[in-house]
Amino acid sequence: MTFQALFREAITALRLNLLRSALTAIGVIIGVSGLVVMGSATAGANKLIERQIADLGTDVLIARAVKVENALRRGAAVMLTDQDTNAIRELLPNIQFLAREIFSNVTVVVGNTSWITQYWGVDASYADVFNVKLSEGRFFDDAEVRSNAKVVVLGATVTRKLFGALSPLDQTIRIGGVPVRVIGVRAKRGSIGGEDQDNFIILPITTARAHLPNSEMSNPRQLSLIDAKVLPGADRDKVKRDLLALLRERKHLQGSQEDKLDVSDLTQFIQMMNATQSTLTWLLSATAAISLLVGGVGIMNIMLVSVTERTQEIGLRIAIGARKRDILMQFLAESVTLCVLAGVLGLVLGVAGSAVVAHASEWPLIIRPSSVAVAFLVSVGVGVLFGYLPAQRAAAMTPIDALRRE
Amino acid sequence: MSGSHRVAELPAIECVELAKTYGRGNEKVFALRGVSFSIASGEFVAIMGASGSGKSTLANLIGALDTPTSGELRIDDKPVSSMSCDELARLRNQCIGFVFQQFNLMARMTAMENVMLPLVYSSNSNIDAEALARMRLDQVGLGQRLNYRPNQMSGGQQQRVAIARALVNDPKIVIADEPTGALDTNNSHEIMSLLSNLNEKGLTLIVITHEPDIAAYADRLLRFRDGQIVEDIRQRRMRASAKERTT
Repeated sequence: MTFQALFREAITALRLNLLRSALTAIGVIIGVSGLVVMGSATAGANKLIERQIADLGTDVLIARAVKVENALRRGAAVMLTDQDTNAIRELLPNIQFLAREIFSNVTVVVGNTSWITQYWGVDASYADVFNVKLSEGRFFDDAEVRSNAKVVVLGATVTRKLFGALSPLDQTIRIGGVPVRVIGVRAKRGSIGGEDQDNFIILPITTARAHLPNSEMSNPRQLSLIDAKVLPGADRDKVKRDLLALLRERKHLQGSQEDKLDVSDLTQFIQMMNATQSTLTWLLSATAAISLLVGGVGIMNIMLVSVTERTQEIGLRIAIGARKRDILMQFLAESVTLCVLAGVLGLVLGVAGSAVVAHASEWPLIIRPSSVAVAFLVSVGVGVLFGYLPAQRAAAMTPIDALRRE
Repeated sequence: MSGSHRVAELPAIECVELAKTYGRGNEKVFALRGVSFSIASGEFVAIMGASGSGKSTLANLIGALDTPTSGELRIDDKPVSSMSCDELARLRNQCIGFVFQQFNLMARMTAMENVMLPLVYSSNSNIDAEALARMRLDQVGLGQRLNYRPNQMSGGQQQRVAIARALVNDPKIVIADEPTGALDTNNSHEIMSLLSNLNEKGLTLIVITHEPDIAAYADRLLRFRDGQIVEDIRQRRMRASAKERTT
């Protein structure tokens, strides 16, 4: 029997029980669409992370004092200060840009609207370290940092919450009661793992220290972070080691006290994101797999019914010369055709679902050819795997028994 | 079919001590108790007997639909008893046409599609299946009903489709198991005329029946009782009716 003839026979048989075929296919449809959405979501999220990494650059180092949670050891906690920044600037020539940073939560008010967000008090060089892109206005400069200028750059979310679609440039917002002029809006960064990356305001560090109370800062020269960009061409890992060594020396840390200081780079951030991502991927995969399993068992069930219903037909086909493998192929073709049709529907649904997810998550819609191929192969696989037993049962019939059965 | 009506030297069908039992132990049923006979190529044999006499069992064995418990069956000088599954399938497809009492047509298929069905399982791929099916349907007088489905045809017409299907691969032997059992007298005689016409053109024909006026068409009669042959007589066959010859 030719491939075409098999396919035509299968379609005819499936159409005879259209509703039953459609209901049976649902499990496979859901399973395949789940696989497609998963593939697309993984690709989209990775693309987003890649894009953000490309924006920031992978040669950014961030130093922080690790919070010591154990009360008994709190007294031994270390503190990063302005002096550390000066020492780094003097002793580590392979750092191109260096920025001090303090942060805390704050309420911002415009008219009757208020919004809780995070403020980042930084040096003007922060824009160079993190390659900050603005959608409107400008970043503050060194002179404004030196003069405690009351200027602010807003994140996209804060802008939207306070000003809606209007331009916030040159508007005044009140931060902790202090009027501050908006000079820029940072370009939208999107969200990662559901976390908004645009809910912040950026001020000169001097302004923040002068006007915004910060309960976490026990010293007026204390810093939350030191942000550094490695000189292009320099060995990032070596600079990272040097920076950590310098800070440890300055804090008089011994080998066993390593946990009080941390220098991280974006590769760690990537690893963290990937870990979250792969957990999500596994979860989605498991859901899709279970759906395919249940769908497959449904296919097997309905094929068993179909074989039983068509016992006489099988008997007749054997009587006029069908071999065992002809019968086997006929029923396998039927289950595979059903699964492939379900797979195509699942693919369409999956692409639609991916578009919705991508839109909601603000990442690009990516359907890789490989996930289309996987959807197709999985459909065929389910059809063969779960169609085999019923087909085998049909092929094993003896003509005389099959013809006699009512 | 060979154009001439002749009896070949080798028998078309040869049975030696052919036996078939069903069940086991005390439940054992002896359907055939070791029958031996041969049917020459081109013969028209009627097999008669009451129900349970073993005639249908014999038809199923000769049609390669069932396997004997013991004994030997040779068709066209080939030992059917020792054939593999695939060889049996080929035999059923190429050498033997089987006509059933209940026609066994596929309800969802047209007359054409039903007749073409055996060709699907033929290894010969360069045949024009449609032309062949049309020719066979013409031969059984249904050239005008190619696209009718079984439920649009009378019983007699359905059986003609079934006969066309049995003939489509040009078999040497046609076995008809109670071919008129589901038909009225008029249709029965039309079907028998058709079959005996085919036999006159060289087809070896075996008809299972319990009706004497159907058996009268054959030129040899095998009578079965309790799984054994009790009578094997040659008779002057009743000629196909003039009416059938004109169609």
